[in-house]
Amino acid sequence: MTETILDQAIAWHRAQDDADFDWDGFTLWLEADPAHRTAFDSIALVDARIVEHRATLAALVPPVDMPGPAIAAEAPRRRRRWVGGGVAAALALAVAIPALRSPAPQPADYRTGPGQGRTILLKDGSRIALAASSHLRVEGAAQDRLALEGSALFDIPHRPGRTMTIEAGGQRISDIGTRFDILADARTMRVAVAEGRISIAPRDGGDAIPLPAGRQLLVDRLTHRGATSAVSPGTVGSWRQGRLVYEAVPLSLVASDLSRYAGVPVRVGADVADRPFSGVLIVGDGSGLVGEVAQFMDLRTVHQGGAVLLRAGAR
Amino acid sequence: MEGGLETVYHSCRAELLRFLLARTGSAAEAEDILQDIWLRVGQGRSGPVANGRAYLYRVAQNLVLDRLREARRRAVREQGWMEMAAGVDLRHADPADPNADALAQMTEREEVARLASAIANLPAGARRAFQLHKLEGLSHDEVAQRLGISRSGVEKHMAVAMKYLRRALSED
Repeated sequence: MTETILDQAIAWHRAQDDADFDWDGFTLWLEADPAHRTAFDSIALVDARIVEHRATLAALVPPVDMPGPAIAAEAPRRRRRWVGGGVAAALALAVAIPALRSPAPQPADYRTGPGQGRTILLKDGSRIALAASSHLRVEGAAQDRLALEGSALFDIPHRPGRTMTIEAGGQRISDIGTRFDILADARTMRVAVAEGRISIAPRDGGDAIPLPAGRQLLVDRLTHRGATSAVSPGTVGSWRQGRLVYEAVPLSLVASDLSRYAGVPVRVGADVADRPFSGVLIVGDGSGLVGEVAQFMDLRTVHQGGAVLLRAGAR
Repeated sequence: MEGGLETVYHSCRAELLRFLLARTGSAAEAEDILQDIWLRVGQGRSGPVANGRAYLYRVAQNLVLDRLREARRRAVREQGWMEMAAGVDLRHADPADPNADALAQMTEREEVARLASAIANLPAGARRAFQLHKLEGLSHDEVAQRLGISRSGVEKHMAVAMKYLRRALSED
């Protein structure tokens, strides 16, 4: 089907609701070539499916990103890019990855294996859903110093005067009274806020930036750069419902997340590790995830020992 | 005025049939749909209409789309049934089986996810125009104003989006 025919079909389809639509002209166009009908059918069907699922799609796809007033100063002007400027400067002090500081008398460690998940309740009513292959450490008599490796969804009620902090991916999150999701590996961390707001700063000092509901922050731990972008609050933590939702997340972080669900370690080639991935993946039994990502990103899957490697180049 | 619409139907019958033939590519289906239109007009369910001819064309156009969607749903159901039947005893499998329904629903969910992913991966300009128009319900003019571009700019973005989504949904 040629591009021209599709363009014509789209133009006819767009105009069909106009009061003065040219039904005679449309009939003649259809009669001119059977391919016209096929093209129009395909456009009408795609449109019908969008209309049918409009509400679901609106909830799944992050809203159009217009810098909001709350963090306009930090918001990158373009999406899907690491940015210089405010955020990068604020996070530039995040060096090295020292061991947890100020050891508490009895830290509690919660670990999950592949395919496992668990919910941790703290004394103050906080609830943390720990995803598979993750590690949460809880320290302090008041259970107010937390550290995460991997993925977790946090429901932390607001308590005036409390000083809870969560360390993950080289960052420290504070000023918490909210619902948010953290995904962190050795290279990248993402924090997405569903309700309320949090403050986030490099673990070793530096200015904190606020992150309100509907925004996510992605930090590259190697370059110490970060960028914020819009995120649908309803999709934050949706991995608990078997749906992985990414918005311009580097492929390397997506891969470390996929390893949790696919049952095999998933790695990405250095040439594609930084490519941003946006998409919604249905976990199911986990077996289709890597193929789905490869298809969307036009990548090749290579089986290496027990692991799967995603590389540039069509399959 | 039902009588009015009936009169319009009789005077437009030939051109409607010609349109339906071009639209469906099948004489039998065109006749079928024309019959459906007649039933609607005859039962007077529509009430008075301002532009009878345009109204009848629109009804025809919608009936064609309904049939297309029904055919697609059937294809999805049958595929779900075949996937299920591939793993179980065929003698007890039937397209009306509730398990086949569950599979079709799963396929449907995956399709929505695929659509959402495709939207998220649209080129930035096309994605903004698409989301504002299709998901947030703004008119083309409102989208143009919001994005500070011309109306034809919005239409170009929308065409890019529709072509992209069409491709994303058709590849397997």
